[in-house]
Amino acid sequence: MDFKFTEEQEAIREMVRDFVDQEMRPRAQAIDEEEKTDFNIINKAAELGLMGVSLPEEYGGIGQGKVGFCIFVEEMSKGCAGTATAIGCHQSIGAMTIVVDGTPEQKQKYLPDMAAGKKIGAFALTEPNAGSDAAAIQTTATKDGDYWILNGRKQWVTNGPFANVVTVFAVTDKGLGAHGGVTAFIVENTFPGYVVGTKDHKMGIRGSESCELIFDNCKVPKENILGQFGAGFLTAMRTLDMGRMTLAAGCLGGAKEALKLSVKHCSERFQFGKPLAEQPVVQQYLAQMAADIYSMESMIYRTAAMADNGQKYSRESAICKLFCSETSGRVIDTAVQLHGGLGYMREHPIERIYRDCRINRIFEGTSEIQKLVIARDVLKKGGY
Amino acid sequence: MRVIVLLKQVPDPGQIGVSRTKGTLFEKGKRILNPADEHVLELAAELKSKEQADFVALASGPEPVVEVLRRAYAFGADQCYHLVEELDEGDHFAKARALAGAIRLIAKERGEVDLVLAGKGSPAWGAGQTGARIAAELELPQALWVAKLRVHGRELEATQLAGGEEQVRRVPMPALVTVDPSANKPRIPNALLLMKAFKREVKKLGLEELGLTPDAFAAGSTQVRIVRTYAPD
Repeated sequence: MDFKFTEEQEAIREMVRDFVDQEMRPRAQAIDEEEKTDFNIINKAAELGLMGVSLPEEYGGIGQGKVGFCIFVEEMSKGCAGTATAIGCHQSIGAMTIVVDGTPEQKQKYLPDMAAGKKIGAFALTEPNAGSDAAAIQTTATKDGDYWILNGRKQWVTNGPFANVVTVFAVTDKGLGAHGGVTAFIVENTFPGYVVGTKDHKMGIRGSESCELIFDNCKVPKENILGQFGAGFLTAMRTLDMGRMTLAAGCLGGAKEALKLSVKHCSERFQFGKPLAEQPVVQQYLAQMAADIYSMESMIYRTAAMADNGQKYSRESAICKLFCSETSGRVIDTAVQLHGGLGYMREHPIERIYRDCRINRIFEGTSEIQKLVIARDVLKKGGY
Repeated sequence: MRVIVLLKQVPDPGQIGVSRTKGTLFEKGKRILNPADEHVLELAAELKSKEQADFVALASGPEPVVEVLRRAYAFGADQCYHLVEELDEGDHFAKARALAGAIRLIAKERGEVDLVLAGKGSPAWGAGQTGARIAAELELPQALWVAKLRVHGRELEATQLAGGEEQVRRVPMPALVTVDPSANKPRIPNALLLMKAFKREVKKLGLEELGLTPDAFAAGSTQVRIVRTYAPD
């Protein structure tokens, strides 16, 4: 058992850290205020090859696998969780559906432009009446010659306002239900009947734009069926396995940033004639934060290595998502407490980090859904 | 145009100490690329794109030195060379003699070298001697601590900073230039190049190939003797 990162992985971490220090962190507060995805950063990331970290080399990506991609998301999330969500979503649930289930022609058509950042990806599953109960989706697809006609609404679609390539899940046979009756489609934003709806206004990750997408008799060529016909739900679940693990890596980045800020503040802030860091109660907080971070880091990279080795990791991915979203929430909450009044002020980054982290317990499957996934698996296959 | 960039691997300045009892230097962390050399790489990368220069990198020292050459590939180097030697790091006479020999050999292999670029200095010994001494060994004109460099045909226009003033020199090529960190802001290397760098070949050179026998570096022949190292008060 060797827990060392490879030299390549260390090099990517160092490079992304430089990118975050120079381009992302200094802009994070302004991006939060502007509530817009910063395309200067996205374009710079694209120039540096960072829009295809997770994508295979044969399609212009840098083929860093799951461990490399988790490193990438972790580092980006330290600097600006909103921008990290936009870039991370593009590569994980955005492009990964095509990597996982695309035909060679679909991969050739879409992945090189996505790896180069020329086309941005998104994933549209959630609907007004189908959130945690994803099987209840109502968007339909009906056959019309060489096309499928999509009708319905998807909501809270990350990258939706500007995405060029969206994986859309639609009911193709109501009688068959989720398993057999739902199909995934690759939908381009230029297809007739594709409408970008109202942009969402969010509590946090405001550098990541999301919106409603409306399919009004949207014409999709039949060759854009993604994966097996009727097996769209499987495509969604396989993609979410990766999405949940990388989301956990984002939680880890946020928690590490919170600890770093806390150590700085507690070392510099004097009360009762000495730095806060010398107060035993403060040290207890810092120790617990460090222990939590170590636990998160251990489980994420163990799971990512399992995935890279071709092992099944659905349960572990759900565990990472559940544990890391809950734990980083606690770590960041403690960081706000350690900052006192300053931590509640807009001028301090920890206030934004606190708002940014709250979504992690909700999107890509709520904590409650993760518990359901884990419990079902444990009951079916046993514990450890 | 052919440019050879000289790179040095140095102890991380934040990870170095002097033993108070033994008076010896010790290093705690991994060695890094000399921070000043990032600016040299940036200048070479710019010359590659503006002047279509053949961008060659050279570093000398024991095996881990290969790591800094990967950085050169990430900046777009066409070929990297590693001169494998274990000379005393404080002996810049010996280092300069060995590196000059390697530059001559590379010129034979790849064609005439127009410009040798080196960093302003390094935090290892802080002598800032090696560049100038290589120029002397190779009988090249030199411009040191250059903040701006322009190429006009076979001539270089080198701007040096001197006591708040700018001094502009015209230097015929081939020449040696050491680069002041104010010259540029090093780029973040492209991730694709960074990963490909791990797969690129680094050519190995040995002192014997350069025609340098151990006598060339024997005590007394290099004019440097380290008498004592001690911790600052």
